Amino acid sequence: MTSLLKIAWRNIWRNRRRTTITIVSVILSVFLTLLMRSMQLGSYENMINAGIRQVGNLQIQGKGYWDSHSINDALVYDSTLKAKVKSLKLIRETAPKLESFALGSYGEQTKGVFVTGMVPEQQDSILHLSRRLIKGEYPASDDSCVIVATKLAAFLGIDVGDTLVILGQGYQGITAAGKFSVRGIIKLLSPMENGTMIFMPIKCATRLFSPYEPNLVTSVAVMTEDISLTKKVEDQLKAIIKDHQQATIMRWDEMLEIMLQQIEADNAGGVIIAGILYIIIAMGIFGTVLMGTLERRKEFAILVSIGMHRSKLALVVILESLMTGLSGVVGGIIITWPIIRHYHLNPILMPGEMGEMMAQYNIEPVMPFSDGFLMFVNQGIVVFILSLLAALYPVATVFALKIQDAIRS
Amino acid sequence: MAIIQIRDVYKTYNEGKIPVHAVNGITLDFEKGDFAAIVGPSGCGKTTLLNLLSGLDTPTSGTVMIAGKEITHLRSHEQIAFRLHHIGFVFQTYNLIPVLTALENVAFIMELQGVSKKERIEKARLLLDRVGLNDKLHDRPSRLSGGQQQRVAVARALASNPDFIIADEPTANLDSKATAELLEIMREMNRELNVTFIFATHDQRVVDKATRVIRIEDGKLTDDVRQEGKG
Ligand SMILES: Nc1ncnc2c1ncn2[C@@H]1O[C@H](COP(=O)(O)OP(=O)(O)OP(=O)(O)O)[C@@H](O)[C@H]1O
Ligand SMILES: [Mg+2]
Repeated sequence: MTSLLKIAWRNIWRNRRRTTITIVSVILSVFLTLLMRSMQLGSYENMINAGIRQVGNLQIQGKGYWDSHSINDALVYDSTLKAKVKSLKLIRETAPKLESFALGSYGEQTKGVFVTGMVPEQQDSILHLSRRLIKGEYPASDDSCVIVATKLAAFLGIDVGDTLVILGQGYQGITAAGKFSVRGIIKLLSPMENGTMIFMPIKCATRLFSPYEPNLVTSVAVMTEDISLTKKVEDQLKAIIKDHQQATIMRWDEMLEIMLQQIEADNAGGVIIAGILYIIIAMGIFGTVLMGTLERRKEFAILVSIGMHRSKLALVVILESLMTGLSGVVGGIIITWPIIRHYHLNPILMPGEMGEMMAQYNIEPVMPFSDGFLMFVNQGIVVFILSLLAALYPVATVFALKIQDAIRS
Repeated sequence: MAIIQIRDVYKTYNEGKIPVHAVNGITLDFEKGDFAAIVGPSGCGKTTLLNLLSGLDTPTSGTVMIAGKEITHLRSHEQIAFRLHHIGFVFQTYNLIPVLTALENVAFIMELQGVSKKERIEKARLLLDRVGLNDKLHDRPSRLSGGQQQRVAVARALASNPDFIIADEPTANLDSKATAELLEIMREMNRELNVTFIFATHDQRVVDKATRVIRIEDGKLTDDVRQEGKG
């Protein structure tokens, strides 16, 4: 076997120029594929991570709330339920929210707004909301105030220190009305959210929307210790709420379904381009190996004559193909790795459609390149398989070789 | 007992319009230690006969027995294994694996046979020394002269410990000095180790050295004489 390896390796260098050209073309294709995939996968990872930060790995919700978004479908998150959830070891944090549509008005202006009641410190640590503040201050849990998104503030003509009136319908049909002083103005990435969002401490939201049911929440985001634990924790939570009439559990991938679909559609384009590059790789290797095989028909015939089994010759041909392909992958990875690593640590700004799409989800439109180990392993595996496929026909010619004809020629 | 027994062998090629009777009823034995030259005009069937007795080709009818074993009905991979263990080859050209050194070429055939690494390196050195190439062990074929390449091929043929060695026009591309050297080496091996050599040749120098000359015309045996090989 070591001899066969030696023979194969030396054989591919018999035509130094041809092999070099082939390997360089593999290197280039691997380089392009890796770079492209690294950007795509990196931005997907980034989006998904940001999405999960917003919705949590899991959410406990009122039944029907996800579809209706009506506060009447909200969940009474009472102390018994809370205690049970808190007892689960694999949960890092739970973040309750109480959210509803309402009307916001200041002076002569009135606009439909989306009010999010949350625990300010918690959302800040998860989403760094305070960093997006462009004016005023970030509230604490016990404050009674709001922060308003920039575009909405501009529309209403409201500023820090002014008083915003919120009017709407609360839990089970009660009237929700309140006056809140504006503590800060916040700039959100999503243009849509930037024109509608109002944040307030959840205690204020409870007083506003549900004064008689202080435990009401529209969702409780659950952060597990690790994303891989999602399924396990989901099962545990389901067991807890089994007898609970109102509650239901949603996983992040269910909640981010639309985003995941968009990613998938975007990804398909990348896969097609990668496929084309792979075909180029395969053709290059195929041509080289086939020529190498046809040129050596007489040599092969003599080897079979002296007693070398065709299967061993075939193995040499396969090894040649693999060595050519894998040299290209290794070369490609070596030159691509530092670049990917650099842009992984120093993400570039995301241009175009993808950037807009990310902003819609309130995700910083930067593109950290993925340096996922699997991506490199996959390249290796794909090129390995391509090299095997490229060797198929040349191997067939070895088995079909007519010994006497080849020797006589 | 004869190591090779050819009985009533015919080989007809039907590829063209008229069938070609390349071997047309030959019965012939080779004895252990023969140093035999098969001669005859071009196209008379020498190569075909050699191919039949190495299993590279199968007769249209008749039988070929080697060391008591009928080889004509072996399956293709059995024939390859049979050649590996029983027959040595020296071809006119392209004998050696170009990417292996002289030593590696000789050792390789033993590797195919499953001989241990230590043993095959030792034996390969010994044989290359015997054919006068101990200073060329690590040279690839491209750096050897035609005569040196043929000597490596002889060493390789001997390395597999065969029942006999087939050499189809081994000297056709060599000058007279290289031919003389190669013949001398083969004759020595033949004498000392009692290895059987069977040549197909047009080369009078080979015929002169041979201890047996077999003449073929139109696929038929016309003469078979034993002679005192000169030298
Ligand atoms: N594979 C084949 N297919 C068809 N005809 C063949 C084949 N091999 C040999 N022949 C024919 O059989 C005859 C004998 O050929 P062979 O090669 O045995 O002659 P030879 O004695 O070795 O000739 P030379 O001295 O030129 O090498 C020739 O007429 C040749 O054309
Ligand atoms: Mg011939």
